[in-house]
Amino acid sequence: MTQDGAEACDDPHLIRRIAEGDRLAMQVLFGRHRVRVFRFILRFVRDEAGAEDILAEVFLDVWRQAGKFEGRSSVSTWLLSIARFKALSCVRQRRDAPYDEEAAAEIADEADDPEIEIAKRDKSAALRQCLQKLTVEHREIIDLVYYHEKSVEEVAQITGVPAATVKTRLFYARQKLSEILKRAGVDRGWP
Amino acid sequence: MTTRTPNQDLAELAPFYVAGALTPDEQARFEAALAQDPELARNVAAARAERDEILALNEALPAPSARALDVLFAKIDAEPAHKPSLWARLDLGGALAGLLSPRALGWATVAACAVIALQAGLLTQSKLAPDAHYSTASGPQENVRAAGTYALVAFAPGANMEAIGALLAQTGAQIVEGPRAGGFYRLRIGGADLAPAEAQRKLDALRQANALVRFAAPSP
Repeated sequence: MTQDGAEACDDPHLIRRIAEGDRLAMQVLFGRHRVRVFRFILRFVRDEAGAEDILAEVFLDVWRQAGKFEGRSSVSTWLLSIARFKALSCVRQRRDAPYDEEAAAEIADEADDPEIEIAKRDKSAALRQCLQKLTVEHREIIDLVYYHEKSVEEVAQITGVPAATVKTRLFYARQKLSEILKRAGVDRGWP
Repeated sequence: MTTRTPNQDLAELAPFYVAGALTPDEQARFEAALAQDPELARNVAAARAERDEILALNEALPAPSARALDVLFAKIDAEPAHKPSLWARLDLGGALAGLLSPRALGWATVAACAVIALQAGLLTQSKLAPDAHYSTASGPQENVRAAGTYALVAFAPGANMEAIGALLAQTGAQIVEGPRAGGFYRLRIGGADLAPAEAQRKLDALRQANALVRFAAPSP
């Protein structure tokens, strides 16, 4: 599309049109962000059907609240903030259940396993395995920075913690990752 | 235990540098330090490796099925209609007040109410008529993750959203993904049981709209 066409389709413009009840704008916005938001939700709820239901709820909130969006953050940051709130609410509801597999899965499993043993031969595969052993809290912040390309301030806004905490939490998560790798026999040269 | 470094503030910013999420000032300060500090360079190398694996892990995750859009639009269908913006309403009122006497304005209000009532009736009727109301490509109960007939489409430079929307409605297509690199969108043009001839007809209709569509091809 031309520059004008591209501008006419940017996220804030779509939000303004959604506020007027424009379904095409809704479909375009959904198509643009659904995969990343879905994957973010999936980290918390761990089942695809549940994550899809939450995804629909997130965009329903956008439909309802578009007129109140003031543009103080990017649209994607706004979407991830809503998604996080809804996903955590869902996880908390499940915690009330008598047996809670999800809560158990949130506890980091730092024990070495056969997959890591095999992966030692391949440093990047080992790193991938060890990233999956981080706690949900640490993994969330790492995903927000590397996959969603969010700044310190945006991560702070999405997670609701101060910017300084974002930086130290991420630093600690990365050091924890190095420790897990080291225990698995992989030295990645930092810290 | 957290090991702190002499350049702790910069060390903490390494992932944001790798992700391209620093402000221009922060980036300049970071790059100046990076040129002098081997520890920071090792940190950045580790962060780049982390980023690559995080991208691989996320890309390996599934994408939502078409059901998610169906669920969303079913919920939207159940919502009350959006009101026109306050600005639009004030603008119309101001124009009417400027043009009409209070008595005429009263009659105009009655007429406007009649129009609104008529529209409400039409909307209600369209809700009740399955063929007339907005419908998504599949029902909410349908498992459509793999099912469906898809097309990959790139819209023409300058094509506006209203025209695209009309074309999508005309062909019964629903945007399910995009834009991908190069401005491509993936459209669902029908169910898995869509006859090949009908799929081809829809594809041809998209291609013939060459003022709006610059590329259209079947997509898995």
